[in-house]
Amino acid sequence: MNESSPAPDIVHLQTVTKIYGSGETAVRAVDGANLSVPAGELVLILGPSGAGKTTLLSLIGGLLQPTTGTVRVAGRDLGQLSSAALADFRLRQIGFVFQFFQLFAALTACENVEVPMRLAGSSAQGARQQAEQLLIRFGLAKRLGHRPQDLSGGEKQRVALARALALHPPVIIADEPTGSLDSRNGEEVIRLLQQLVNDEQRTVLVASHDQRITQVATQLMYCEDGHLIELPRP
Amino acid sequence: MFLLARKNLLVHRSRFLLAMSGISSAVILVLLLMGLYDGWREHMSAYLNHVNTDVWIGQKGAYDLFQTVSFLPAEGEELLREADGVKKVVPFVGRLITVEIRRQKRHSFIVGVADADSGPVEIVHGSAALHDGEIVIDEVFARKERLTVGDSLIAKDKPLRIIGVARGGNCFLYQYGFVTLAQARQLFSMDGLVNYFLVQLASDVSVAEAVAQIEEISPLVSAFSKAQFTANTLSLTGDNFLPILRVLEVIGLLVGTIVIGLTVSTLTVERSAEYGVLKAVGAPNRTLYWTAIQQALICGLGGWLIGVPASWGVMAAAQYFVPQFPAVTYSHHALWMLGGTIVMSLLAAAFPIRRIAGIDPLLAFKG
Repeated sequence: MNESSPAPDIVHLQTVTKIYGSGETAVRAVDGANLSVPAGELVLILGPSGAGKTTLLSLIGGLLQPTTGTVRVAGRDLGQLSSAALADFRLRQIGFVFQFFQLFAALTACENVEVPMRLAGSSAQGARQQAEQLLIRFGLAKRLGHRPQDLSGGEKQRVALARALALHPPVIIADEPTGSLDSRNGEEVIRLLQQLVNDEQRTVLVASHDQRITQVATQLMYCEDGHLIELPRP
Repeated sequence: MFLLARKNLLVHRSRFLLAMSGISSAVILVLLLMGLYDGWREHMSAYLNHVNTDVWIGQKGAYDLFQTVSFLPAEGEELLREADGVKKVVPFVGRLITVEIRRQKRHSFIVGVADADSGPVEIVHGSAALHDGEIVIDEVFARKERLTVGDSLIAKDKPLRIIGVARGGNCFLYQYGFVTLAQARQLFSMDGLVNYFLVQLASDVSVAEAVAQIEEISPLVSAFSKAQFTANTLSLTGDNFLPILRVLEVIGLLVGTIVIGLTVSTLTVERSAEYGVLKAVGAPNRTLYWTAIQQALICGLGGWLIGVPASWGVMAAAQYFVPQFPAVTYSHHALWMLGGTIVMSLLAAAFPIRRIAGIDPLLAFKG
């Protein structure tokens, strides 16, 4: 990737390999993966369980360091960042959405969304106002003070999405975001992800088995045995 | 992240309350021992500080009031009185004896009072105007044995009527009682003998010089300044007994540390996935460590807030049921304990911090 390129890819993977373990028990979770994603794309990564999709997302999200190869996201070579810089990168550049929502059980919906803002140093009042606005935008105006245990699956995932967007990160990483939702709530989450790409030019990378996402994805990738292959759009 | 630290702690209220009671128990134990330590020293020295003397003179080799033996001929009083720089000499006769109360044997350190200089610290009931056949007892002894003015006790087969109850004579193991000097001599069979001489010096005489001079002139006596004699009396038991209290205090602090550490560590294990999520979404390690420290401090300071007033209650109850219990309460004990609690909390946070450091952020991807 050329630094002076006028429109650099927001995500760029070059012959990335991730090996777990060593010797005879070594596992190549990702094997020579290449990926270029311009800003404002919705990339769907398909593939069977254990194919390396989550490892790939973890590499892009700065949660793992590649064994070999280069991962560049939002202009940063993640291999060159210290662990503190990587944490800051994840906080400000990446929004994570997980299959099992991973909300903080003791906090209300609003407080959950405030977490990244408070980590970034926002004031309590500023974080509260912004969190409320995000949740209202996602149709959760009446759920601000509810704890996760009092929310439906769809509501939980919308809170998780609001949390992912709290600091306006350019890249959203979603791991099976519809995997724990019923059909109607799944469609709602897909619509919201599409909205982020179309209306806000965010880049969304989704690992999923959900075929409905293929209809809104702008780029399709297939992952199997650690290899990443680009698929033609239907 | 204080909000998350606090709310996670309070998710399981019963467990939090259990942890609070464990920590506050440790705080109570340490404060009780601190109160006992200071109280013991104060009670032990109260009478010796009250005695009006500059120099204690005893038999050569005598060192303190309770543990070493001292007998001197009573005529020494005249010799001392004639010495330069001596303002007043008071004979002191005192010994630990067994007295009989309602046919029960009890111990009391009986002092023969020559005048007010060696009398009780402060009369709280009755009178201090002693005659033969009368005794002034300590208020702790009175409460312990349910005695009051007008009652009698028996010492060496002689009945002694209680004419007064005094404060400041509780030595924990036994209490002071006061009789006339003649009565004491009779009780102890010490005709012509005293245990010590209390010497008051003229105002222009240095105590240190007087002590040195007395020992030089008479090689058969030991002389001590009042402060030194008090320190000697405290040290013989204090050197052996008080360090045990210090050991127990350290054990109390350790128990508190372990309870805090267990509480926060258990919480950390339970919330491992949440810590993984926090790591994944970009919380730096120092923030996560600070979360554990905050939780430990909440536990510790909560235990301190409950433990301090509870310790006052426990001490009051202890003194009600065990009158000779010499504990005292001081605000500086509570402040010292506050420091101790903060140290306990910080040490306890080391357990969960180690665990947090090992949590994999990829846990966030798991169910």
